[in-house]
Amino acid sequence: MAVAESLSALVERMPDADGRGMFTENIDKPRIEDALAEIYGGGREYVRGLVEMLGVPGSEADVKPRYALHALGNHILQQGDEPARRGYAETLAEALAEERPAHVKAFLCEELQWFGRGEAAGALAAVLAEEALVEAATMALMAIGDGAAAAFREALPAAEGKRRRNLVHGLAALADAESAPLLREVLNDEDREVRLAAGWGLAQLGDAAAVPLLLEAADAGPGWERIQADKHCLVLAEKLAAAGRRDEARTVYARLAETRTGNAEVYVREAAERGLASLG
Amino acid sequence: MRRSKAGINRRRFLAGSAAGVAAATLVPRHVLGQGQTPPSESLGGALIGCGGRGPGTFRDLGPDVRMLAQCDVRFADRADNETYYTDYRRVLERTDVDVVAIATPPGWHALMSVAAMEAGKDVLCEKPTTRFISEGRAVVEAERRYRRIFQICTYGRFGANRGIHKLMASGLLEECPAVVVRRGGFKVAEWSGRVRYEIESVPEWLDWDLYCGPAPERPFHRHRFGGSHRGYWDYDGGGLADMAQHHLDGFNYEYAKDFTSPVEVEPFAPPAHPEACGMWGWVELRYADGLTLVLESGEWGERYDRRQPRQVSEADLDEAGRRKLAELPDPEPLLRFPEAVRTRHRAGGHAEAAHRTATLFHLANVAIRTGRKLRYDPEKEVIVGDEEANRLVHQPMRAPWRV
Repeated sequence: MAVAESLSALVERMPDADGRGMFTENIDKPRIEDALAEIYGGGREYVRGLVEMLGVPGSEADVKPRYALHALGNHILQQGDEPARRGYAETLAEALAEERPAHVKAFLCEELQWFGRGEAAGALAAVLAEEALVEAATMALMAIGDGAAAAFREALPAAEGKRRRNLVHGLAALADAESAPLLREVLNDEDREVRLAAGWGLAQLGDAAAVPLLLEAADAGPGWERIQADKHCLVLAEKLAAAGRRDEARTVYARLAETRTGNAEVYVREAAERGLASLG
Repeated sequence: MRRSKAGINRRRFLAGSAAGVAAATLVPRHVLGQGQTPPSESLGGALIGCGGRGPGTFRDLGPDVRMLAQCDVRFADRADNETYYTDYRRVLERTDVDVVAIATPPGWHALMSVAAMEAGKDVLCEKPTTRFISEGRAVVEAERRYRRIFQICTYGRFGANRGIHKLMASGLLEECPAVVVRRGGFKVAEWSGRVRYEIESVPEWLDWDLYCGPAPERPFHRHRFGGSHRGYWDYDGGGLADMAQHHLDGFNYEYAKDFTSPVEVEPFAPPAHPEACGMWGWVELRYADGLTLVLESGEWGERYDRRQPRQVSEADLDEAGRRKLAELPDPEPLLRFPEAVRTRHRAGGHAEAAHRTATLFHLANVAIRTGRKLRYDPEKEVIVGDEEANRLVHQPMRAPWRV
């Protein structure tokens, strides 16, 4: 039997959607798992075959292959078969590099978010350049971690708008020390979301060099940006104190305690005063 | 229409009642400064997420709260940024808002709770507390950092067995022989997601991008919206996440597990779909002290029969233990949200308690989704030795959203 035919027969053993379009009736666990075991036995060729079967999300043609591809990833992890997991991820990564509809590529990014590791970073980095995929690829790289910060840093200089926001968001979430200079650089970006993401990342890093920069950012006028900048300062001070950099932490807390004098910011001043007290 | 009517009713009620007259003559908290709560006052309130449970959640803020702002992604065609909003960040900028009720889909709960506390507001948040485990730690941290009041909007613990709580909190039982089985009531089929659907165009009145928020922005179809959102991992965790905070709030308090979590989780479920929540049979969760909690759907698969339910009682102590227990003070009464705000003492369903209760069903869902037995470290709040499962404990958010 040809690969496509035998794989189709196995995919057909996945559950049928009920009248509401849900998997709630006749869910036969042994039948599904037996079929997954056979697909697993088919190796990369069957993984590739499942990718080729994916269709428009929600369409009848897409329901079973989408489910089977995801369930296969979990089946492989249940076996503790690392070479098979790597093979699965490499196959998806290869498919991501090929000409395919954006909705299929987005799903491949999502599957790599769950099952990929460093082997998928290169393929995900390549689609960071695509506006339609940058969110899915960023989220996948954030989950994988390995190779992600380098990919974000490399893509950033040429990125604008939504892509730029995603890349800085990714760098900040990873709290990668090597990215601190870059985050300090974009702390004055013209895009508010880029500024806030950079501040968040530097705070998470406990970056001592960012103390004057984050305090300056906290001079923002009343509103969301100031609320977030206050948070960045408080988190930064906590991280600095935990790292034994009490003088820098004291500087941050003292500035907030001195400047948050209005009624609306009493709670920030009190948080800073508690921080100061904790430093002794 | 129900949502705006609720606000009007609240204002009418306050204006027409003795409490309303009194409230109108008192100095609002924002004039005195946030964190400076006098014993009696009128509070400025906001409701974020105005459909479904929204009006009821707002009522639970207490009798002296004036509705100043209503925020919902469905207000795209009427938002004036004075009374009606689509963007919660603009609501939180208002210094006259003291307390916030959050009743959005759960994918937003943690982000909004954290952001509200960062803005100095006290928070009453609908259940479930969070969409995934690490969000809960951020809520706890925000509560601690800003000393705000946080209460989860479920009240099982307020009627829980205080005798069991006293026994378990005493530490006199080294091992807990209890087996607690919660069977049924999880609405599993009801809150399943659709795997087959037709993509639709986004209605003009809806800000779909903001609705999706930290989750991937997917093609719109109506089942992802308006109550049935519960069936999608992007926004919630099926009937289990929808109902279990109710079922387990009392359990967590009774068994004194507000500051810890299970160490082992084992599921019985068919392979899960990547986007749509679906069927499961049961999940067994075990704590380090031996306490076993079983969540059983009663809607799919064979019945759980590994262990028989068994409660814990004073009879599990020896005579000396019973004497020691009798000498211990009874548990402190739990404060509801209005009382906690007034006294500035922690609410009964505070952030850590709410987070640890949510951790139970999130762990169950991680086990269901991965199909694997998991070991959990309740201190570090990570799954031990399973990188991919941990990606469900701590999930990336779509830019620019974060906690």
